[in-house]
Amino acid sequence: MATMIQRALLSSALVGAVAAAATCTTTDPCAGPTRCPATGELPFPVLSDYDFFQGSMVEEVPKDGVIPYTVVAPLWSDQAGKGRFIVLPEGGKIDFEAREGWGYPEGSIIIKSFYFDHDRRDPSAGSDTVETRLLIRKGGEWEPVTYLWNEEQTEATLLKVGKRVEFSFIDEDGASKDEEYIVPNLDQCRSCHERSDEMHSLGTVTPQLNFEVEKDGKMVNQLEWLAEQGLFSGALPAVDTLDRFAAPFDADAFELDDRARSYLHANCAHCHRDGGAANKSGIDFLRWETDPEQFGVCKLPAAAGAGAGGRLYDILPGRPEESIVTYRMNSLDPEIKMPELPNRVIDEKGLALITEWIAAMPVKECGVP
Amino acid sequence: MVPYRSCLGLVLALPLSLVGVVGCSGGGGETDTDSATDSDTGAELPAGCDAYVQPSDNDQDTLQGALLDAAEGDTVCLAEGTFKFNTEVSVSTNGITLKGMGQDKTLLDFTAQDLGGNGIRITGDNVTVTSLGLRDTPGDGIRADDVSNITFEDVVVGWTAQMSLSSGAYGLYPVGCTGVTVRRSRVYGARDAGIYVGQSSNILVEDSEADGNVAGIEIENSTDAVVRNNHAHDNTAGLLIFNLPGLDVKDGKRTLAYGNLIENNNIDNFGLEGTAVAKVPRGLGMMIMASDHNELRDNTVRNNTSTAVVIVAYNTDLFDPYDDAAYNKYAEGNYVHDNTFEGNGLDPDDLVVLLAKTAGVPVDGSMPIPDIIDDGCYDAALDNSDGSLTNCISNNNGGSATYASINLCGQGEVSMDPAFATCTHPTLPDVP
Repeated sequence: MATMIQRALLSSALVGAVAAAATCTTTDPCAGPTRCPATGELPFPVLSDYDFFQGSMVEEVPKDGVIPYTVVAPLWSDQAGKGRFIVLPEGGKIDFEAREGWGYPEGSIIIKSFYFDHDRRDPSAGSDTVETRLLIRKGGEWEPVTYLWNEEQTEATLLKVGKRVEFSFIDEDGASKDEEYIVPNLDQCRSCHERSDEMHSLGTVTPQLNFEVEKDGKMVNQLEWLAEQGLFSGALPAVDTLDRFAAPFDADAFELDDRARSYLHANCAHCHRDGGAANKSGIDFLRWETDPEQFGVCKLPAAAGAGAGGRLYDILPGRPEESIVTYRMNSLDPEIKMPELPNRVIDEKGLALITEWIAAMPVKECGVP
Repeated sequence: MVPYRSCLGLVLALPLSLVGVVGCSGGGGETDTDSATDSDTGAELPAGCDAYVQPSDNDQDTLQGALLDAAEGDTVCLAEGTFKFNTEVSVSTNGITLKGMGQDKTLLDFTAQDLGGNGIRITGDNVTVTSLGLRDTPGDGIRADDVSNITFEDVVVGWTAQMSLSSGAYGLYPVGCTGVTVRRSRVYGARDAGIYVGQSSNILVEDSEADGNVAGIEIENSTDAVVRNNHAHDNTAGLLIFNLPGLDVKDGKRTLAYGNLIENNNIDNFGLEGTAVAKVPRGLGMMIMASDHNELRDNTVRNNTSTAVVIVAYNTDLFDPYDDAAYNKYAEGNYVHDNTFEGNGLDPDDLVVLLAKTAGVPVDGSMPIPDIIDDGCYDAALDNSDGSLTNCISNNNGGSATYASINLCGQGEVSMDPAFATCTHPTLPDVP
């Protein structure tokens, strides 16, 4: 686990050096920013076949047409860092939707890599990438695949059945730690991305992308920047008319309720919504749900079993310590924990946020009008 | 025995302990002697199998890999022996049959599971699980989620610890499904409901056994179920037909239960505090709560210490208060007839004592608790002038079964005269 990837120190000089050291000659048309993917049916057996990146692939310096993006309210993945990109086919455009359900053309690929810093006190100490997941638009549907990186960090290979990966890092307090990370199997991909028998991209929805990001040293609205890159088929509506999620841990910029609801959307609503895998729970954590009972206030659990922990309601206003939601977020027991997959580490910051949010609700006795 | 010959090549490749049980015992009389081969290993497949998984040092990946590689309609077979898992196994492709070599021959052991809420989770339509056993899942046994036509046949799910809170909640657990069949299966040791069908419709549970669970068989927020010829024994309660508030699918109704033997459901309730079944009194044969137009007929209900049949609304004195405006909490229009009750009500749970006292039943041991207790409640906002909301009883023990209407809602009167509630409803249709 020794490869030191200098993400933060990446420079064009480094990219050039790596490219020159590659097996191709400097006149190789594929060594530069032009993609030269393999031919044949998708998904390819190895990640390098897609030719998304120039130079050392693990550094994820995108080639032309590999468009980086980020989300304002990320899914907790055991504190993995993530690289995210959209790749459209030649001439392809996205049909924009104001909230979700963007229409992607056949052949589109959404890329998400998961990496862990070697030293959580110092991102410049490098990281190891564990897996790179793709959603491939094929036959009018998203097909999920994931690629497991080798220890040398030179290649990633298609893996269907999932894997438990052990890794080590230095934690925030400077202590050496070992953790297990779960690379999902393809059904587990579906268990989050599928609703009503259809696969969806969860990150590329309007409110997740509608925020200010830094590009070339300036702050710009990410949706507008993506529009400038030519991603959308039509004109983008004025971004201030579109939904936006809050950054869950930016208490200076956003209200507590907005932050908590955005967090719950990002981490829970892929299952807990109409058509989602957990719709039978009767809970709907969509950010735009307005009925408090729908998102758990004074709601009796459906079949929570041990997940209820003896608590009566999903959310008991003013009393986080008596609410099922916080109980389940604070467990790693497979029968209790939420989300069910795939974390091995509790999201302490997320738990604190939801605890604070429930505590701030006016105390109410449930079932009493 | 001819088709067995095609398996010989495979038998030779197996450990000696497995010889003689390979492959071909299922097949339902099929004589498919085409010797298919496994595309990965080149090994000969047992008849009727499109993939064949044998115990190895990585059962998780071999079985999950076979299921992910399977095409619609494939049969994935498991050899005789014990398979060990640490992660939920998923079945997402439509039309898959997951088939072992017998419910006591192919054992899926989840003792080491630390990931996933179920042993097996099914999200494909038209899936069949057959001829295998699951043991000691930390969560639920087999869950089928929002699918059409899920079938469990000759499946055993159980927990080795008896009456243990550390056992899983549900054994066979179809939820949100259209078309559920549970046949010749058994669940033991669940600390909630053994055979649990939730928020589903078109259901058949037959020839199955539930024992050592809190609830043996539970039909919850589900409609059009036939529960027949099962044996529910030594649970806290034998058969529950419940509607609970706050669920996506509401207003379950029309369960027909007949031909069941429901006996000795007297174990202490070891359900988890905060769950609905944890409130169920010990010693119950059958209980209908908040569900309408169910028919219980021709069952034998015996030696349950509290009572044979309880019909009640969702009572917030007992169960937790809820906010669900669309929920109808009453149990209405149920029909209990032609059942045989023997030896029930001799050592009632405190709660049943309380219900009986409400009706003025002496609970000093001078007489058993009545065979049937009805709370006499219905939704006052609805028109019951034709009696369609009244719970009817008829001809139980040839008319000699005891009865109490306890008039909890003040809409009728307290009565222990069976004639008070003797009436009929249209019978529910059976299935072939």
